[in-house]
Formats: sequence, C-alpha cells, structure tokens
Amino acid sequence: MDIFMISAAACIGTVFAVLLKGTKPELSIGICIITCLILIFSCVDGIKSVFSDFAGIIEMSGIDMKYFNVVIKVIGIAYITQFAAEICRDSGQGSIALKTELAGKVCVLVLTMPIIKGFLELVINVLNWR
Amino acid sequence: MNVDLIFQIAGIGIIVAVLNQLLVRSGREEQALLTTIAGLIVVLFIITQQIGDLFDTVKQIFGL
Repeated sequence: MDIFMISAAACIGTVFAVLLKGTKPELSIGICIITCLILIFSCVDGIKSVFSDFAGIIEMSGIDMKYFNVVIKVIGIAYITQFAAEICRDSGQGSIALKTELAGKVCVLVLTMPIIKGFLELVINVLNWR
Repeated sequence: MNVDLIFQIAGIGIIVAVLNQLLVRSGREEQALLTTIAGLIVVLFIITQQIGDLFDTVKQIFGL
C-alpha cells in the first residue's frame, strides 16, 4: 500500500475528470468511478489485516464475536453507501445521493435491530424486577 | 486493478470527445450522438466489471 502511488493516482484521476467534465460530463463520471475503485482496492489489504487483528483482540477479551461481526458489517455498509452517494453528488444528483444514504441507514437499522431489541428487553426486565 | 485503467478510460473519453467535435462540425450530428453513446457503453462495460470485483472483495472482507 504505497501512499505515493495512491496520491499520484488520485491527482491524475482528478485532472482527467476535470478535463472531460467540460466536453463530456458523462465520461467524467466514469473516470470518477474508476479512480475511486482503484483507491479503494489499494486499501483492501490494510483493512483486512486491521480487522483480523481487532478480531483477535476481541476474542481475547471475551466479548461475544457476533457483536463484533455486526459492527464490521455496519462499517462495510457505510463504506459502500458513501462510495455510491459521493459519486452521485459529484455528478450533481443530490437527490439520488440522499436516497442512497437513506437506503444505507435502513440497511444498518435492519441489521442491528436484534441487538437493540435484546438490549431493551434486558433493560425492561431489570426495571420490572422490582 | 492498476492505474492503467484510469488512462484507458481517459483515452477513450478524449477520443470520443474529439470524434464528437469532428462529426458535429462536419454536420453529421446523429453519428456524433452514436459515437458518444458507443463510448459510454464501452466505459460502462469496463466499470461494471470492476464494480463487480469491488463488491465481491467487500463481501469477502466484511462478511456481508
């Protein structure tokens, strides 16, 4: 994961995107998407190693692994949603971006609903114990 | 996934823009529109392949 290559690729992609935006805005979206994809792919190895290290630490600490898995999934959903929404916003489609973010938030809520329910039931049981 | 992809798509974009201008100036507007659409379709093909790769990798890492 070479930060020099990543910065250089980002600058080159920006230059081409601005170059094409004047004449062919539709192709400038393509440059945007490809540059973002390349930058994401350069980070994938780092993300993998960080997450596996965290998983080891959480396992050592005795917290149930399923909570950590849910956290990881939520992070993944957030990244993908942000990727799509920012590309929409760059091309001037703010409404599409907002609806994508809404879908991402609903996804996260659906995913974490069991944990929220379990927590609230615990609290209610404690309150009703008296 | 290497930096060459940016250059490929930028190259396609510049060629399409130049051809578009040439055809519009010489009066063939329908062919200009067709070249634009053809360029868009080629770029979309390349992009959908890479996006498919990305989503597979993300599913792998995040366990979705």
